[in-house]
Amino acid sequence: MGEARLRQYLNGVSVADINAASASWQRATTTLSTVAQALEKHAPNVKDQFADAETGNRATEAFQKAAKNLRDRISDLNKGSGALGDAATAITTAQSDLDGLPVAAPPGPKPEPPIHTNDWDPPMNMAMVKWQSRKAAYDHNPAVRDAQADAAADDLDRKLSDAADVMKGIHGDVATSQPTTSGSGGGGGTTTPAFNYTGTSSGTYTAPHQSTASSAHTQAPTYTTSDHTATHQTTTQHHSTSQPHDTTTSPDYTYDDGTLADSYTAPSSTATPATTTSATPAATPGTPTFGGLGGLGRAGGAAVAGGLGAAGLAAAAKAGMLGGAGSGAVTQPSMATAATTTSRAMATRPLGSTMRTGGQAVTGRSATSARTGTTAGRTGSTAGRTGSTTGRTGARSGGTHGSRGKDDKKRKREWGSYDDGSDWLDDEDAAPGVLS
Amino acid sequence: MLPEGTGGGTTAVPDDLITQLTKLLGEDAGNISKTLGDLKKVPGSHFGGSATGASLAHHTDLAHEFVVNALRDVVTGLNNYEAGFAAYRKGMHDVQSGFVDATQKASVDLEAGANCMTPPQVGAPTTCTAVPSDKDGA
Repeated sequence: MGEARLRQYLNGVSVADINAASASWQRATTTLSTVAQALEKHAPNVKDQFADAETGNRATEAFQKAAKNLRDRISDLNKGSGALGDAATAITTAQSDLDGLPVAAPPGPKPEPPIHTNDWDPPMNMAMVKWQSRKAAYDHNPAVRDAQADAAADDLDRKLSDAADVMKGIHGDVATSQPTTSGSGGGGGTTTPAFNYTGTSSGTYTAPHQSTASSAHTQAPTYTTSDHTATHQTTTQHHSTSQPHDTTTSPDYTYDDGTLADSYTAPSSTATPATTTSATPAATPGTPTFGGLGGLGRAGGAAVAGGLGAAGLAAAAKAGMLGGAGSGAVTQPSMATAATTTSRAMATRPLGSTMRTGGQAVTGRSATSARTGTTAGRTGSTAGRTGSTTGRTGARSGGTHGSRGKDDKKRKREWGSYDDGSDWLDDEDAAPGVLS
Repeated sequence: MLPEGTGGGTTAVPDDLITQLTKLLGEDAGNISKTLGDLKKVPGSHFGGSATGASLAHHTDLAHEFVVNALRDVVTGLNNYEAGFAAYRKGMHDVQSGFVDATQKASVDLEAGANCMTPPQVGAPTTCTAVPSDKDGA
């Protein structure tokens, strides 16, 4: 993931343009310095050229003020030029780091274990040791590559952040010192600049206008929720080392306890939400959880609800599986609650009401829980229906699987009977020559 | 050297320096204007696809805007100085009625120029305004 992150960081960079800007800012200082020097030179004398002292003094002050202003701008341009140069250098270094990453795996195919002959055979043991060593090297290499890429990305992050701080110091305007965010509630809000990052454990950033294979998330407005602790348990596991270093954006990502929400889904996204991790936690009795992003509730319908519906209903489907061929004999209220809560809450309202909503959906039958989830999904959105479909499919497949398991068992039993019953006949057929 | 008397009589002030300064101010303003045109911006995407890259692009843009606005004001301010100097020089030669008026106008123009030497915040309106210039009639 570190490599993907680093590649994303370097996506679209133009060191030449940054350097050109740096040089132009530096050149400007030369001209300004010449003008400032001229003003400073004449400032003391200019007052003598006016008949009245007041106007003369005003002229001197005017020259001095202009010279000081120019000196300040020269300082700004010097700092800015330096910051741009540093940024260009940092990017170049990161590019070199990327190019210099160790190869993903040693040349050749993945080491195969030696053919097993005898555990007590010394040559065999030696071969095993060698294989284990080679395999360890093979497995270790990608990890090293990833760690180095991560370190390079972190370094680039720090340096670009430092450069941004310099720029902030130049314009010095607090009010506009962070990208403006618009939009809220039902999603569709845009952020300028809209840097997105996926809600996977990698935390990979994506460029503003790039489509992503996984769910692309944009900034959401700050929200509060009374039961975000449950959400946090799920979402914090996605937090990665690639949190935006620009702390100016953090308020938009934080819960009311200051923790970062890890991901957001833009309603317009056609990508599949990365919410698969929620299925397992949702199956934990008594622990309602939310499918990653869904905790934010900001994006409302669309993909988030769909993802959550799928995740939650997967748990309900699992309950169906536990009950055999969809008989629904097993009662899993907590799981049903989790599934229903997730779908309904995400489809209709923010997180705050999830517990209450979930309470309504406790059922005694797993099949019902799946249907309840389905209804909730329909209430929400198209994506919610998708999630419901998944749930139904899951339930159906669970039932099918149960049936198949039963059939397999039956078949196995029947086959075993057949085998037992005709064993002597087989033996006779297999070796007629021996008997004869 | 100060003029002999104010508001009347002859003036013995050599206007060499005033002329030089007026010319200098005009040239300075022109040079800065040219510099402004050369001050390059960096497209946001050229800082890469990271959040910090986007942040840097954003703040670089603001810094560029701030410096450019400040220097534009400097140009206006220097032009105001130039206008004041030109008016004063013209008034010195019009000793019958123009000297006092020229001094007053020079004073006003210099103040207007000085108002342009405090850079405005990004997004805030500037207090810098250009004054009518008499330099062409000098």
